[in-house]
Parts: sequence; structure tokens; C-alpha cells
Amino acid sequence: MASHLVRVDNLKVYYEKKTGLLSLSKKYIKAVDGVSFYINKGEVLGLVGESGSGKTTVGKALAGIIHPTSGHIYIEDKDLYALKGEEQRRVKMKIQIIFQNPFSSLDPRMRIKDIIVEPLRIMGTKDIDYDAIAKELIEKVGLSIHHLNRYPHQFSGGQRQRIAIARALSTNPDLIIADEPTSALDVSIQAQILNLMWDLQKELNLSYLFISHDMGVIRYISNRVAVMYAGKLVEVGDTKTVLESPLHPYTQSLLKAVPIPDPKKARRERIVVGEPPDPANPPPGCRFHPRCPHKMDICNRMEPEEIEVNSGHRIMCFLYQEK
Amino acid sequence: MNEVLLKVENLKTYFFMKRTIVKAVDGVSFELRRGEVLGLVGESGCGKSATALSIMRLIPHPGRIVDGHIYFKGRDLLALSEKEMRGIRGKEIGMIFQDPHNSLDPVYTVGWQLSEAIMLHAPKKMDKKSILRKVVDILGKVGIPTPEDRHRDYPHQFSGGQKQRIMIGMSISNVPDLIIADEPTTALDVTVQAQIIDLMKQLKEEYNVSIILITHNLGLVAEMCDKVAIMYAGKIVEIGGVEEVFYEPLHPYTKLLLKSIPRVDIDMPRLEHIPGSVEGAYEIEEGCRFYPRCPMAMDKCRDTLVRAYSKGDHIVYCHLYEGGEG
Amino acid sequence: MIKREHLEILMESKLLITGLAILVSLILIAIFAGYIAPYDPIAQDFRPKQPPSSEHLLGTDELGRDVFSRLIYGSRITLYVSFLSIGVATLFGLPMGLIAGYYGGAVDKAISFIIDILLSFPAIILTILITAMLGPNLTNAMLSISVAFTPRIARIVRGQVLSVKEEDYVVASKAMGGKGWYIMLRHILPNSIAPLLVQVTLALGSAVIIESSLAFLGLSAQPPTPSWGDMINRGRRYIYTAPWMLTAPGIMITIAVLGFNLLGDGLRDVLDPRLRRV
Ligand SMILES: Nc1ncnc2c1ncn2[C@@H]1O[C@H](COP(=O)(O)OP(=O)(O)OP(=O)(O)O)[C@@H](O)[C@H]1O
Ligand SMILES: Nc1ncnc2c1ncn2[C@@H]1O[C@H](COP(=O)(O)OP(=O)(O)OP(=O)(O)O)[C@@H](O)[C@H]1O
Ligand code: SF4
Ligand SMILES: [Mg+2]
Ligand SMILES: [Mg+2]
Repeated sequence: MASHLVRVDNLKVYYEKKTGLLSLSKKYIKAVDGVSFYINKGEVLGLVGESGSGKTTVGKALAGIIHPTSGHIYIEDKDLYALKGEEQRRVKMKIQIIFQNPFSSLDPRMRIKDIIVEPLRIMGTKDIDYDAIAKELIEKVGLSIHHLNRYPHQFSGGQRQRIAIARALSTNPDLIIADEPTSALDVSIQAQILNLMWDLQKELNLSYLFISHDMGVIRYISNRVAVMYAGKLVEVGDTKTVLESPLHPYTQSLLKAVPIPDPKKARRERIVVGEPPDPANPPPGCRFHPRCPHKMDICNRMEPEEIEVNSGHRIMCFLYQEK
Repeated sequence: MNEVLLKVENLKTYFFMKRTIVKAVDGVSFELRRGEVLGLVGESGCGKSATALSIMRLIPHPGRIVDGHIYFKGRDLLALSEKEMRGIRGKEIGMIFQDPHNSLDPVYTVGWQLSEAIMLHAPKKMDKKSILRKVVDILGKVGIPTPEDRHRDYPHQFSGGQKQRIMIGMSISNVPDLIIADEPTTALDVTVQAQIIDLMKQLKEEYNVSIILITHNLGLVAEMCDKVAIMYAGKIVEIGGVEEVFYEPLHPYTKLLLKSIPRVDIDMPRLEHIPGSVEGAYEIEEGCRFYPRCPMAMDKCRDTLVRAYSKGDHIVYCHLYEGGEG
Repeated sequence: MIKREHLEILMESKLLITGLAILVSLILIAIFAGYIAPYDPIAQDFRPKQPPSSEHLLGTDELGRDVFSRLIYGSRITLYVSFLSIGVATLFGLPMGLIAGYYGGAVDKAISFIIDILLSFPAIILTILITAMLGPNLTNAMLSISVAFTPRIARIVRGQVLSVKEEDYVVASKAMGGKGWYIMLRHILPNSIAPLLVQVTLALGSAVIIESSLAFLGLSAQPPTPSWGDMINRGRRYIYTAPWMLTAPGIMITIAVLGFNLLGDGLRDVLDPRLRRV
């Protein structure tokens, strides 16, 4: 079996939430509750799901920002959180992150040329010409070297996102985690950024974990897609397969809810009713059962296991376990 | 065809900043018939909200409506006194804002806020019981479960989607003729967004209200609107029936816009993107504001005022169509 | 780095310009007191309690000293005490707040505990207690003001750090592997300076009041050193027979405090990014 660039194994991230008088009782928000997936070299994995389903948390755990409660993340078969010191830092350098909000992800008091090479400076790389690297990168993302001496507030949202991409590229990463990188941008600008990311991915053979709640964006950019619901991965598979013939009831209703910019296709029989789950109190059994149109007896008693229906298409739902 | 409910004519709303004048809305015209839904689409900052707020006459300082007419049921709203306008807001024209978290007051129960909205425009004094009945009725209508209990809850006890539906409830409490919804679902998940859209459609069927839906989501427009107006830098560049605009877009901006949205239902070739940015477009006085980014631009686009060319109800503001039907 | 547009923004804030003008004048007065004051501030050379005249602009006090000269020299003590003590308070409060806010957890709990205890006393009571304990003199007065303001500065910094810490650029820097001290100095401090500057300026104003109060109670600089608080204290006894003794220093204190507050409010306007973006 070819080894994967990234393998996430039963990842759990719980946030502690103090409640009650004097914060004595503790409660856990199970933001990510047992998630496994892999990403191959040069592959784009899309991660979709409702707000609060845990997408950003998965991304942050992968980027080494949030320590997992349990589980493992292997980067080229090295256990990221078991590594120490220098070695861990070297592995982390191979993973970079781009944030959703280009207005808060760049330090307003730093010049662009310093922002772009900050990861290298932190790494303490010596004997390199930072300015030359900054020049090369800024042109790579479609801006010009005149921009290097400016400050972030002099740029538009799309331009800032380009700068953030340049920064992410500075360490020659293998994996870029892009957390809704275009959701704060206008569609015409979004298209520019998506095209840029597409080109860079091909040119540099990058892998992306591309987080989004826009199914169109996911279809455009990703090879495979993973669907999250309330801290669990409910469906993973080849993008086209999942989007055209979704199997999990949640994915089905999610896709039905997406409005299509074509007046004649403006169909839509809706399925999802009810409210999104409370992450501090997720429903027992299958977390989707209170909203699921196909709910069976077993669904609120037991948690479904993940099963593979076709090669690479995996689902967590009792509908497919019976068979 | 139904009567014209709203007719906006050459509306100009400017913001007078210390150093510059931002021409947020610069000569916008359109009409809306009773029961019709108009989508108002465009990039951030192109003047969608400013248009909506102008109709409500709620433009904040340092903004001012400097020119134009807004005829609503035949009366020019811009000629009314503030007092007459107050009678129209919330009663004849309801407004729904983008952020469901900030538009309800956290210190009052939602029931109280709803009853206030009802009483403000009640023709005669209503007794407590009938107000409560109406509140519960509205909450039920917008899909809040067990409204007879939940009207006693505070806004923070509801989810974002529920809050937005309560806002919609408030805006329909007096059965207005027109609802202006300014990005009512932008902050919400698609599944929740779908609920809101369904609710708005249902209200339209039931009360025959007209709706102006401001959004940058062309999918929502396709699904819910009869007409669509595409705005660019303070001006409408194209307006027409949804099918005409989507299937036979005329303006280069609209064409590019439609090709720049990644779609979930079909495989897309490489996305079209519009080069450059709107920066500087507002300074263009004579020529077409899209000129610096337009792939079809001609010399006269730079300095000649753009006129409207129409094909039935489908109107485009672009020099390419000169000589066509005018 | 300062460009014309920055200066323009500065000039537009009338508060800031007025405050700055007041303070610069006060500082100049303090520096050149020797040239401005017509007489020796401690020499008891004249007939006591003379009303203002062309010879003695603000009259003389009960010991026959020129009130105007004492007022001029008094500005030295006031400015010296407020700048130095708030400076020391910032020196200690800033790192305390930075560390507490950035690291959180047990460190934060410990530091916040100390801050809360010190803050439970009103500043004036705390300074009186400390000077009364250590003995009334100028050094102890300054020390007490520093102690009273350190927790205030620390708390402001901590709050600022807590909000800046959540910004994506700080998270981004962490993701790059930035160490604690690096992030604090490179990102958090530069982005916390502006609001801190406002608060420090306002604290300087409060320090003027507290120093004057201590002097009024005889807990600060000891006679015959001229200080505004002490002058008020003396003037109080002759309020009916020689009202100028009380009024003149009273007005000066008001002006000084006003200067700091105007400057602080002006800075707040100028540094507010919401106003700057336009
Ligand atoms: N620092 C934190 N402390 C406590 N709870 C948190 C924290 N960050 C996230 N959460 C909670 O964890 C859950 C998952 O959050 P996460 O940000 O990963 O969701 P998401 O899928 O990225 O959502 P969105 O689409 O809104 O970005 C949410 O319920 C959120 O409230
Ligand atoms: N209160 C205000 N003061 C100054 N300028 C304003 C104000 N409100 C809006 N503007 C300016 O008017 C223009 C139009 O703003 P408007 O809010 O109508 O845009 P929009 O199309 O609704 O954008 P978005 O999609 O971001 O909501 C913008 O350039 C904006 O900067
Ligand atoms: S497991 Fe049951 S409740 Fe969950 S999605 Fe499948 S059918 Fe629905
Ligand atoms: Mg997120
Ligand atoms: Mg708007």
C-alpha cells in the first residue's frame, strides 16, 4: 500500500467548558470526536459540513495549533505529536495554514516582505536572502514587488489572501490547510484565488485540506471530499461520486439544500428539518438521527460504524450496515 | 399583470466623507410589481444596502439621498415627512437585516419584541390576550417549535436561524406590502438558509407581498426571484427576468459573474475570473464604470455616458448594444 | 515612518492638540522654572499674605513667599512624580500583564490574584497607607503611586493581550512554530501599544491628583519644597483672608489633569482604527 502523506487516526479534540457556580463542573465540547482520514501527496481533500461541525478544529490539529485530546496524526508515517523539539518543528514546517479572514490573519504592524518570510525567520533558517525569497513569492501569487514595503491595510481582501498564500508557500510545504480561504471574498475575487490555488497545486504538486461550506467550491477544487457532522466524518469519497450520488442522509439533504444558479433547476424538495445539534450535548446514537428522514429504531440507540461501500467511498450510517 | 408597487427613479445616494464623496448609489432605477420578487446582486460595496436603506429612508450620516424619486403605491417616499415615513416603516415596508445576532435586543424576550412591533402599528388598542395570540401565531408560522412557551425566551436562547426567522416574523407581523431582505441568510448554514428561503416563498404565496432580496448568492436568486438587477459600483448594469438574465446575459460583467461561480451540479472548466478590482470605479464620471476590467471595452466606453438599451423588460447599460433596440 | 497623512490625522483631533499644548507648556515651565519665576520660591522675603499685585502676580503666602514663583516651581514636583511613578508602574505592570494574558492558566491566576487584591483598594487609600507606613517623603510618595498603578496597568495590558492573542495572525505565528517570547514581542506588544498609551496618559492625570492629595496631607515632598498640594493645604487655612493662596494651585492642578485627559482622549480618537480606515 502506498503510504499517505497525511494519515489521521481516530482524532479527538475536546474543548473544556467550565460551567456552573464557581466553574466547578466541567463540560466537554466534543468538537472532533473520532475522525480518521488520509490525504495523498498532490491530492486535494475537501472538508465540508455545517458551522460548528468541527472542520476548523480538524485543520488546527493538523497544523499543530491545537493539541489533540487523543488519536494520532501521521505525516509521512511520523507521529506528529510524538515527535519532539527540532524534529517536530521540521515536520510542522511541511504543513502550512491559510485562514478564512484575510483581514485578521496578517499582522497590521508588519510589512508585507516581513509577513511573507515570517515562517522562515521563525524556523531560524540562516544564510538565506529573505528579500529575494519574498520577491519571488510575491510574484508567484500575482502581486508585484512594489507591494513588499506596504502594510496589510493597504490591500483588498483578495490581495491579502494572496499574501497569506505567499506566506504559506515560503517553507516549501507539502500540505496546505486552507480554512475557507474564499468565504470572505466576492465571487469574482473568489474565482481569482481558486484559480491561483489550483495552479499552484498543480505546479508544486501540493496537497490541500480544503475546508469550505460551499459545495460548488469543493467540487471545483477537490479530488475527494469528506463530510463532517457534529464532530464525526459521516461520508468520505471521490468528489464526483459523493456529490452526484451521495449515500449518507445528511449529505443528501445538504446537497438538496444548495441553491443552484440555474432558474430551471430551481427544484428542491427539502429534507432537513429541525435544528443543528448542540455540540456540548450531541444526540446519542447516530448524531444525525433527530433530523434524519430514514431514521430506524437502532439509530438512536447505537452509533453506526464506518463501512466502505465501494472502494474509497465510506459511510457512517445504519442504512448501509444492514446489507 | 399586477400593479406597480415600487418605482425607483434615478436614485442617487452619496456619502459625504471628510475628503471625498462616495457615490454609493448613482442613478439607480427599477420597478417592482405587487407579488414580485426582485434580486439585487453585486459585489461587496456596490451599493445594495445603500439602495435598500434609501427606500426605507434610513441612510445614516454622513450619507444623503441627493436626487431621484421613490414611488411607493404612487406616493413619492422622498417627499413624505419623517412622521409619515415612520408610519410606513414596519407596517407597509418591512426590513430584514443580515446579522440575526444583532438585530434582536438581548434584554427583552422575543415575545415582547414581537408584541411591540405589532402594537406600534395596530390600528386600535389591542388587549393583552389578542396580542399574545398573535405573537404565538406568528412564531408558529415562522416555524419556531412550541411557540406558546418559547415566546417567553430571550434571543440568546435561539439559534441563528431561529433568530432570523423571528426577525422575519417581526417584519410580517403587520402584513406589509413590501419586504426588503438584506442578505437574510448570508450568516447561516445552507440547510438553515433553505428553511428561511422556504419561509419567504411561503409568505409570498400567502400574502402576495413583494420582496427585494439582496444577496450575492446567484443560486438564491435563481431559486426565488422573478427579476434580477445586477449592480456594479453604484449603478445597475443589467436588469431583467431571471431566466433572461441567467440564460442570455447581456452585460459583460454579468456574463463573467455567471461563469465565475463554481457549481455543484456540473463540472466546470477553469473558472472565469474578472481581472483587477473595483477600486477606482466610483471615480469614473462619464464612461462605463466597468470599463477598466471589461474584456470587451471599446474606446468610447472610457468617456461616453452609458445609456439603457432594452429588449422588452430586459435592460442593459452597455455601449455594446448601441444600435440595437434602444 | 510618520507620513503626512498621519500628521493630518493628528492635527484633526482638537482634543489631542489642546492636551498636547497644555502639557508641552507645563513641561517647558517646569524645565525653565528658574528663568520664569521672578523670585526664590522658598525665600520668606516679603510681607505675608499680600493680595495679587504687579510685583507679586499671585500675591504672597502666610510666610511671605511669592505664590507665583512657588506655583512655577511646584510644576516640577508634580510632573516629576507623575511621570516617574507611572513610568515605574508601566515597567512592572506591562510584563506582568503580558505574561498573565499570554500564558493564562496558573501563571495568570497567580498574577490576577495579586492584581485583584491591590485593586480592591482605591488608589488614594492605598497610597496613603503605604506612605503612612514607610514615612512621608517624596520617594515614598512616588513608590506608593507606582504600587497603586502597577496593577492597573497590568490589568489593562492583560485585557489587551487576551484580545490580540485570539487574532489569526497570532495563531498563524504559532502555527509557524513561533515561541512565546517571540510572539509576545513581535505581534502582541506592537498591537497592544496604542490602547496602552491612552491608558497610561490617563493614569498620568490621576497620578497628578493623587500626588497633590498626598502633598495636601503632608505625605509627599516635605516643606519648604514647593508643591501644589502643599500650597492648597496651606491656603485652606486662609481661604477667607487670602483666597489666592488656594485658588492658584487649584487651577494649576485642574489644568494639568485636563491636559493629560484631553491628550488621552485625543489619542484614543486618533488611534482608533475604525476612524483611521476612512
Ligand atoms: N477555543 C474553543 N473553545 C471552546 N469551544 C470551541 C473552541 N473552538 C471551537 N469550539 C467549538 O467546537 C465546535 C467546532 O468548532 P469549529 O470551529 O471546529 O467548527 P467549524 O466546523 O470550523 O465551524 P464554522 O463553519 O463555523 O467555521 C463548535 O461547537 C465550537 O463552538
Ligand atoms: N455609513 C457609511 N459611511 C460611509 N460610507 C458608507 C456608509 N455606508 C456605506 N458606505 C459606502 O457606500 C458604498 C456602498 O455600501 P453598501 O453598504 O450599500 O454596499 P453593499 O453593496 O451593501 O455591500 P455588502 O455586500 O458588503 O453589504 C460603499 O462603498 C461603502 O463604503
Ligand atoms: S444512521 Fe440512521 S439516523 Fe443516522 S443517518 Fe443513517 S439512517 Fe439516518
Ligand atoms: Mg471554521
Ligand atoms: Mg450590504
